[in-house]
Amino acid sequence: MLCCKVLDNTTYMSYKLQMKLLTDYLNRPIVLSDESWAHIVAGHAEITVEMIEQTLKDPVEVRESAHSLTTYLYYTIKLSAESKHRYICVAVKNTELGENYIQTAMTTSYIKNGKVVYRRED
Amino acid sequence: MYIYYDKNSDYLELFFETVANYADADETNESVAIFRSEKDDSIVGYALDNASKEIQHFDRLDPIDKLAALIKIARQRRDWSQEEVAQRLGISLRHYQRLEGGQDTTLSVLSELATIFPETEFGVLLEKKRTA
Repeated sequence: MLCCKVLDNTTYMSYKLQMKLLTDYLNRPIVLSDESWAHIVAGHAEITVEMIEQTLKDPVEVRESAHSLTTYLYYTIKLSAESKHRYICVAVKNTELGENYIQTAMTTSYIKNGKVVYRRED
Repeated sequence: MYIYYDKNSDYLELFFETVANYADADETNESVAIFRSEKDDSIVGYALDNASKEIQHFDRLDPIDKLAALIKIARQRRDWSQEEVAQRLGISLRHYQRLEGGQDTTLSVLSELATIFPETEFGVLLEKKRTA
């Protein structure tokens, strides 16, 4: 049990060091802060850094949040979904200084309403 | 209970259990997401956009959990630390952390909270607790 905890911490630390700065489908830099990552790890056990990277890099759709014009929701389809298509959603906040940072990430069963900013052509 | 609040976007997440989960649509309100367990589909938490306004009318939480969320939102919107609020209330940091974690409420502390965070509905919750 103790070994598992040590391994988890090591994995967490490596993610912290390696995954600070990600890029989206337009190669815009997106910051994954320690605080956001800690929240994602604690609240959304199903989400991995690879899922976040994939969603930012190759989203099926990007929408403006219906409740915040400065928050964008990136969606991609969760590959391991068995019963129905569930999406991975990454919320990215655009600050007044023009920086983009990840607010949260989760799996979801639907794409929420909001102005479509980008839609992938398959 | 685990509460996450981002004051920059006024976004709140509240979990009763931290397990693999997914967000489901709320039938009536697009600003509320329900988190369900991937294992058994039970509700494990909620997410609210515009949390500082929506939380006042959010009826799915019991008063103690709602109080914990209100305290966290009010504190973070003022940029106060947990230590600072604990000092203002005249209680220990550990006691305050229990309040913010939804583990403890007493009438005397609720009265003090209503004084330092007057914009919240602590008064209403206080009345409910008094008449219970």
